[in-house]
Amino acid sequence: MVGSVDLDAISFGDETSSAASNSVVNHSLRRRFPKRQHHYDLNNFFSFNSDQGTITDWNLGRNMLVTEDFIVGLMAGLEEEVGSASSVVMYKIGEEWGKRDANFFQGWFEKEYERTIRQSSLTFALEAWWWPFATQGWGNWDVDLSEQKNGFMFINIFDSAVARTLGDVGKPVCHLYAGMFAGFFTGLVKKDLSCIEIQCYAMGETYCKFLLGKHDKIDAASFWQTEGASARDIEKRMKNGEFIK
Amino acid sequence: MLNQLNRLSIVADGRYATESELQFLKDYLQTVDLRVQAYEKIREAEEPIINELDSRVRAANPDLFRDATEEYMSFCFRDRKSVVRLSAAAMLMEDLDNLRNGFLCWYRTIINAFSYQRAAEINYKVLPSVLAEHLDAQEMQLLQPALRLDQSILGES
Repeated sequence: MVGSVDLDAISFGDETSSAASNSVVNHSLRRRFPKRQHHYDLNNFFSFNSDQGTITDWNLGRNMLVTEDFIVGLMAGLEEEVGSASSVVMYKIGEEWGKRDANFFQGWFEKEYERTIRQSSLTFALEAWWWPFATQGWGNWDVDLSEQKNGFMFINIFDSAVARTLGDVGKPVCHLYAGMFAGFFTGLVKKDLSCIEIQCYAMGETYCKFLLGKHDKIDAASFWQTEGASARDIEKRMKNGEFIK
Repeated sequence: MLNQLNRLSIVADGRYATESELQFLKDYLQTVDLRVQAYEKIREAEEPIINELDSRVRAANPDLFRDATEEYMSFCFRDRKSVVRLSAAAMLMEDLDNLRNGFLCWYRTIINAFSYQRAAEINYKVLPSVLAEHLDAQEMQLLQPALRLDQSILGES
């Protein structure tokens, strides 16, 4: 069901529509308080324009709310169409979204904080990137940059909209997230990166864990995962530098 | 209060609200003068409160801001002011949900991003004692829930 207000639902933001609406700020709170920075509460981030039947977020993206049934339908429909390639399709959709979002994010971040991302703390910029997603219902996150110097990093997602919806299916299902992280960080650092979900709520775990890095590292992790390695095994091997052997 | 009124309008839709459902409104109205009074005291004493907070934090933890830049300290003062102002507003409106969801959860991610947890923990532990010197016991009692929420969300490491 699209267009109804359901607090359990997640929201998909369409950033392309923001360009068209930039001339008129279609967000009542932002019009009144354009400099307000703590605007990530549900009722502050979204402007529900009932007269137009639209939902605009703070960054002027058009949003639509969907229920968990929509996600189930999307995944099942895609699987029926393309079979096991559906995970790759979801990853690719996420990747394109992430690449575009990297540009979009840099635009609003610089405008709002009056400094470039390079002039800012990386951890702060990353938090800022995820704030809209958390409000939209994509879950909270935690980024572990401790292995950044070794060319990879871990991202934890708590309450993934996809995994929470599909329940315990025994395999990773958050391909959209993995693709989005790959696309976003590729766009941000201007280097080709990949991402793999090494632990998923849909496998009975308490949260989802993603590994992001260069293709060779992610290929190695993917191989180990296929061979039955757990997230902890993969993490350990990555930290030990086994991928280069 | 606004959330509670909103909830009441939903649960009592199509019928009269019961005595117990109206109790929160009576309780709030009984304290509203005190809340406004406390809010105004904090508003008028914002600068001395923030400065006193800074002095006490520094006195008890001389090393805390030793390497802090001027910009860092200006952010620190700005953030302390936001916490005090929004906590006072939460007390005034009896609306902890808005304080938590609209500000504290967001601000906590910034504290974590800058590894500012220790300073935050100390700041918001000291803050009630500073405010207690500007408010009487009854006013402090009304403000305590917001201050405890500040501490529990911002003070966690």
